[in-house]
Amino acid sequence: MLAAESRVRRTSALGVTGLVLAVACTLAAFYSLTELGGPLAALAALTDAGTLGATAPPDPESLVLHYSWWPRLVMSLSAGGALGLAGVLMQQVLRNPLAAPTTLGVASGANLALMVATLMAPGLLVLGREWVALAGGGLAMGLVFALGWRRGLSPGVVVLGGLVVNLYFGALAVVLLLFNQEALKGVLVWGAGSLAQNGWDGVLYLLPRLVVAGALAIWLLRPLALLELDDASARSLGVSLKWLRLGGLGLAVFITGCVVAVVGIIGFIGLAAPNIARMAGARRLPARLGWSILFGALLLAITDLVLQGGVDALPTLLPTGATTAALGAPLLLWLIPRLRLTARRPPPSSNPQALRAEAPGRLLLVLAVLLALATLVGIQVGQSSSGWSLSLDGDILDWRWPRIFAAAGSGALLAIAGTLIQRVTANPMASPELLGISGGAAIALILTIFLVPAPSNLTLVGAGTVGALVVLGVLVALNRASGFQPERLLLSGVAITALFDAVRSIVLAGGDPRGQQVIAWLSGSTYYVDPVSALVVLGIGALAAIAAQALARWLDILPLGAATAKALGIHVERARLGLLATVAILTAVATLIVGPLSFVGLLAPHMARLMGLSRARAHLAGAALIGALLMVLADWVGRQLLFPQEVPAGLVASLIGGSYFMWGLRKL
Amino acid sequence: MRLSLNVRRALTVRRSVVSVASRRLRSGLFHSGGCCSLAWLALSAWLLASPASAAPRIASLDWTLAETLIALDAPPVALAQVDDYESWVGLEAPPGATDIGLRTQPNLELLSELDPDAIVISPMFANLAPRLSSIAEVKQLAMYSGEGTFWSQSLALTRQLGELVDRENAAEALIEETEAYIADIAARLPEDTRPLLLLQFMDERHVRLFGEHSLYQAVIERMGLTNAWQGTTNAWGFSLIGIEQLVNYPEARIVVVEPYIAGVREALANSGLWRHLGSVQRDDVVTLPPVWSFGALPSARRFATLLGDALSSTTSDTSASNTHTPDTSAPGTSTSDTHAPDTHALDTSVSDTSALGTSEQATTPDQVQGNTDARR
Repeated sequence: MLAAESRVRRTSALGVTGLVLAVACTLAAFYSLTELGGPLAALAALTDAGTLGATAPPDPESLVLHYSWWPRLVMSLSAGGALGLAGVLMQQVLRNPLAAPTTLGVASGANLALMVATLMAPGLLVLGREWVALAGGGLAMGLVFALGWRRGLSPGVVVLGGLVVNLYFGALAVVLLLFNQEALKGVLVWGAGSLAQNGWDGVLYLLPRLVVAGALAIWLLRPLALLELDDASARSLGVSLKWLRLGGLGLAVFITGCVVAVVGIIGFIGLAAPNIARMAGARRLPARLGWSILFGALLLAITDLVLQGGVDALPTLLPTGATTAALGAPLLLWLIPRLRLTARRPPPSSNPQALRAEAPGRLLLVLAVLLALATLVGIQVGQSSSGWSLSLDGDILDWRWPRIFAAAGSGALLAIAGTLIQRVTANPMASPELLGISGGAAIALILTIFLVPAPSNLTLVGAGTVGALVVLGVLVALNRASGFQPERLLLSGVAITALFDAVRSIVLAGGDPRGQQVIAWLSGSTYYVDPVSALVVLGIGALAAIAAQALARWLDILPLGAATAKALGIHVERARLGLLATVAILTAVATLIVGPLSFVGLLAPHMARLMGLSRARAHLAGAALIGALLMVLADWVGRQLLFPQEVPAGLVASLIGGSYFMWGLRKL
Repeated sequence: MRLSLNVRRALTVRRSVVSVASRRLRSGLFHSGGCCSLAWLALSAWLLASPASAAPRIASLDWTLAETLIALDAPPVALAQVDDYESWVGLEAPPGATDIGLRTQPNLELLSELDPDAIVISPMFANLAPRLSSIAEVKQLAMYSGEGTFWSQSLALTRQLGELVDRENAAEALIEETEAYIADIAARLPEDTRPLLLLQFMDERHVRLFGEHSLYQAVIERMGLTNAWQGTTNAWGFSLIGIEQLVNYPEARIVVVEPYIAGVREALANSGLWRHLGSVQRDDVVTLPPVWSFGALPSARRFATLLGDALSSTTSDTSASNTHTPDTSAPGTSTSDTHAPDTHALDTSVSDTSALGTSEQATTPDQVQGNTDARR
């Protein structure tokens, strides 16, 4: 009786949500038609396809309606639905409400492939941009799968691999962008995801592929539903988990790839639609699939129609893909407290914390010696106009030491912050970058660059700090109620990071020359460091390293779970808040020096752990040393590699670190 | 390692683009004919005769400032992104200029080793000033600040730079010469008063449409032409829009500034909307080689040359073909006779642009040479 009642209530909640969205979509459509002659003219223009070609000069309205408005509406509905479908598939396979089409690196792979093709083989683009994009997306996905293959594509490893591939490809893309901004301005527009159409070509490309993919999804529905069980039970029912996951993810990636190829990167629909469906009460897989497709289609169409109607006054278009991401971020923040996270998540099937070093002390000493050596090389060896030289000249050294010191300091800061957050959340995906603190600082900086004429470095630093603090405030306000539960915290961070991505895409797509400065800063260079700030960063880094040792007890105990920690006499909420605030401050300082893209905060703690430094104290010290070493090396390599052009340290660090990380992950 | 390979390869590819571009440019200059070219040559000869040995050594992080300095014959000793300068500005970099790396992050060690007398930057990179000022005096020179017209801004910029390098006379001469040159081209234009749409493709669905504040609009207005598009623009004078908005200007003639992104031409040929645009249906789309859209007087001069050549040759071709069709509403038929005597050189110099429609590539000067030879 009760069950039936609750099912009725759920169905009606879903129905009401769907109805509201459908009505909103219709209203938005009528609104966008006001200047084009109204719905009747639209219907007339849709059908008179044949006559348009024949009559001498067709009137502009019906041209726009027939070749732009209608294809665009169909495109937004089908792309939105497709992303909703892909999102459900991924979330089902990875058992992770955070999983989304962009998580697996498909978008960044496609993006990078298009950039490379534009620069080196423009002929490929003539063959078809969608094929280039699909190849890049497929390659990225293949890499993710290769990383997770040995572990039976277990959800945690796949998400982690996807994240690393995303960051890695993203960093490569920023390098290309930094050196070829003029040549890549078209790719930037594409990357922001515009649904503008000027013919039926795109729709005719996408729809047949979606029909095939949809049929395959229905065929996979029953086996995929088994993935809601944990691994062992599913296996006992005779399901090959590996192939099932491969099939499900592969299908989702294909769908995403097709959409991305035609209209560019559309953020958040794939994440939001399935979550809204779930919140509205869709429980079983078929229901979630159906409702997600509907919600995704309507959400994207509404956004696009509203944008079409209202932005004539701006000297740039507001790309729909980036805008959905920007609008989706607050939506996700609202959703987080309402998400049921732990109930459906089986415990992580294995723990990468496998080996333990026999003599952590000796390992740390080796790291310290390496760091000292790297610093020495970084300061003394370099190129000048006359080639390589070993320099002891004070003038040259004055340029070098602040950069090396700042690199070391910020590397250590990020590594400590990363270690703290990974241990507090017991989540290997956690990193200061993912908490959104870097993203907050970056948003503030981008806005400053665009709103303040000729900003000084002090203005930029001030704005960045304010941004980081605002994000910290939002994080605290949102997560206070849940007692700073790790998953929710990370989700808030993901939302803020997505908002940052959206702001960046919109800003760069507009093609304003100030975008150069944004790219330069985002790529994380020690370039702007002067002696004073270098010493300040190094000092804070050293202080943080000492202070973090005092937190080691918390860090050893918190990963054991809230209950255990409480039993051992730790005020869990207060400990989490304290650690979180520390992380935020460390990240803000480091971000202001090396930008938000250096993945040292993610990589250094991992590398320390892969070396076998597992106790908190050794882990912290090891990560700090590795972080500093990584950044010093990255700074030096970056300055020498393409001399006189400089590849920013943050980018080099993520490339070096990413390669090592993928190699290490493979061995797990 | 992979990174370095990628980037290096990208650089090599670009270099070949550069050589093509500069070859185009050179032949463009030689063929542009007319007394103005002679004046230009005379001016350069005069400038060359008095080498700027005493002039201060300037490092320029900004291409617009660099092109103006070069035109004042006070070429910068250091320039950021030299290769990119050549391919995107379309002018040759001074042979002695040292590449100091990225515009956003010039190599400080190298710059201090070069020890210039002054460093010129645009306010966009003001945040570099504190670091740079320990190397040399830093001059911020504004262009595209959104205040004043393009013309007043570029004149002020030219004069400021002239003052900086102690060549006020050369600055005045450059201004006069450029204005006279553009006026001369304007005088020889066919009397085609159709408004223009000045655009650059971002991909097959989006264009930058240039309007108020832009170099392109300033030049066409000086040439007596009008811009069909009067919408909002940013401080750099363009707006990013979807192609569907071009539908509202069926009378306007479309001027595409290259480069086309690869694949765009093919996609446009299949685009229902593009094929129905007035200009495309009349087959009078004009394609121009790359011109630095955020430049100053030298780029303005280059744009005027290319546009003038293209408009003259296409219109005379259109008029020729129009005589066969009853509907000769296309203006400009009578003007071909009013051309200055040397326009024949001018006509053959650009390209045989009669076929410049949706899917035709702008012919390179080399091909043009072939065409004219064949015709003879």
